[in-house]
Amino acid sequence: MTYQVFCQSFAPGSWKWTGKEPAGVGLQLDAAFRAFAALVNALPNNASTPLSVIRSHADATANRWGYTWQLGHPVEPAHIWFLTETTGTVPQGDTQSSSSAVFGSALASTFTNNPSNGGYGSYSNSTAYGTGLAYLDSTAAGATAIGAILLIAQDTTPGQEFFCWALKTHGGNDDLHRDCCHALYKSPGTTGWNSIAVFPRTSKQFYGQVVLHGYSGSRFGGLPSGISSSIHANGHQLRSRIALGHYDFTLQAQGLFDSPPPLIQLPAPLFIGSTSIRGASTHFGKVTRPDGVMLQLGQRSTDRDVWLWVPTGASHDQTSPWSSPLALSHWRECNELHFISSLPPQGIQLITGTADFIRHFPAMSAMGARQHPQQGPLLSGSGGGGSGSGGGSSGDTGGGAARPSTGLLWPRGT
Amino acid sequence: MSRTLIDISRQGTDTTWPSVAVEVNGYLQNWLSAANAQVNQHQLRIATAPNPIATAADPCGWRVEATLAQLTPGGAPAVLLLEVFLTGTTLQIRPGIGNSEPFVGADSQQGWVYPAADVGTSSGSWSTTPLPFTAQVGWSLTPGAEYFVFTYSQHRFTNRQAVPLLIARDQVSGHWILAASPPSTTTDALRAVSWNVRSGQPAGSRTLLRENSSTPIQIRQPAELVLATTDWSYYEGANEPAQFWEPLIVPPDFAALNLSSGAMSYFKPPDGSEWLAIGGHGLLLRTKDPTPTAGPTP
Repeated sequence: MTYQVFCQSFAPGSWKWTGKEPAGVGLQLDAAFRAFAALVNALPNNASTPLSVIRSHADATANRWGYTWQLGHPVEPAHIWFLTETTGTVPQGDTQSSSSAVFGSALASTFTNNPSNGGYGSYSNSTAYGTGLAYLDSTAAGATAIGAILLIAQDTTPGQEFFCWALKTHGGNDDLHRDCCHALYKSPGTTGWNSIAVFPRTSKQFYGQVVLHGYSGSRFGGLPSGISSSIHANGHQLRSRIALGHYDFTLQAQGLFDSPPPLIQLPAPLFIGSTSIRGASTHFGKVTRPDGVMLQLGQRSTDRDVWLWVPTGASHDQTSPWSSPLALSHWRECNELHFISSLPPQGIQLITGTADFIRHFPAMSAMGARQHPQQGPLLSGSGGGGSGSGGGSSGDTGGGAARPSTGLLWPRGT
Repeated sequence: MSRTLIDISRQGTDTTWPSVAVEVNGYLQNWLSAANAQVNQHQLRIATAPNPIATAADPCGWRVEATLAQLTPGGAPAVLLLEVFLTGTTLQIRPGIGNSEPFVGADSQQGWVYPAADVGTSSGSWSTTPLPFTAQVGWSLTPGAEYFVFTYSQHRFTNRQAVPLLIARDQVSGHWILAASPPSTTTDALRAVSWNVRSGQPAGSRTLLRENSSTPIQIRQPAELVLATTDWSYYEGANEPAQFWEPLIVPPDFAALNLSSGAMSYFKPPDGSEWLAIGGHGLLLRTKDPTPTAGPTP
């Protein structure tokens, strides 16, 4: 079984993100990721894209806790990190802070391997998104009733490698939790690893975000925010396998996109969308189907919620203390949700938004009319067609009935 | 011959809607006969055809029905409906479901059953002032990817660009999709009805799945319709069970563009394919296939 879903529970009192105990959540997550990396690094198709751990909870020296992973790539590896941090007076895990954590990325060459920044090293050029976690330490005052579940979903099937961890806290005020997930995955059409992090936002939090990263050629960077419109937030719909065009804007100024950009296809097990209207349990939703179970990784959110599909037959086999998340009593059956599976994308081609007369011909221009499959030939007085090649599109579009002989717009005067 | 595209653009000096609609109906009848012979598990029917002697005050257009092999929960063949009528200066689109059982939700006062509560009528205006307009009729009988489309543009603004008829095979279920978009600037003015296999319910839509126009302009395939799933008609308003859906996807001769204006604009992306923009809501119709030697993605 290559698709596995398993979890660990951390009871109130032992739940503590901000620590490096071997049985604590930080190093357990680290161990799970290392085990996944060892499995997929051994696959031939990952020879040029190995995963490795740069930093973990074990490296924390001060006020930051989290991980830095290296995503291998034949041109240049990249680093991606998730760190909780204490910023000013905002404590880590403050339930209503928008900046108690950071999700960042950089090319590996910009990394200086030193103990600065709480043990996590420094970068000469990086991008970071502020985010937040909540209820990080059940030994702290006010959070002693908080427990947590670390859930791992992974697929080691060549070509559809997928590693997703999700953190779900429970107890306390339901509105103040900040359940989130981060997934690495391979997408058809690209060589390297892609990443998606979903930090939903409840009504009690300032903002949430979906952070996407991926490779395009040798570039590693944020994917555009097209997910906003791709995931239609119109009424508790969640979608899987959304296709995103991964492009940068350097060519757009020249008006040409002659190299088809790669598509990033979000991983099939993750369903992302809106659950804000009503229906779902706030953050432990479950939908049971004859062929599997859908589990809520995120929470009811005005931004993006995220759910995980666990088909019947998925393996939960891991040694203790890992166990099956389906055995947890926290889940509540949910209704009024719509899960939509997408088909694999066929392609995206970029063109300019305004007329360039190379790719884009507005109808209301002389050039546009010349290129038009019907108006072009009529204007030129021959069957040549707008492409000027003598063939144009007429070979594809011919065979229909003749045009009416009177009252025609084109050509004029005949 | 994989596809046909006919230009029926008019100078406009002596053009009436009935004459255009009757001409389109001729092409539709021919295509529909062939499509019914080819897709014999489903049956298309022109229930009402355009009235050639309609006055400006008379409704003139189509009522098209598709009887699917799919059975409703009540055990009867599912019937999809689409009405497209011009009356005066209003072109009105109504998608519907012909089966009212076991419908328990809200329907219109006329007893019309919409595919979803928020996929009701849509309308736009037609200028009776003599205007030149461009119009196209296209169809394909490629097995599994059959479609018929009628589109026009009265001028460059989106409130004069329409796709009054789009009948196409869903690429997932094989059911017919009946759709139309009126001349309207509203981005979700499109109306579509089909049947979803996985959820066992009608499937309605009011927009193409596409990026907004602030992202880089892109031609996206496949062209997918966003399912309208709120307040589903076959269930009472609250506590409907969670539903699992397959997407609604129109044939590969269509694509979605995240530009709305510019019907009849022409696009030539680098893969050698060529596309004609139709209607005011980002639908593209392929006029030329990609060059087979198009390079792989990096």
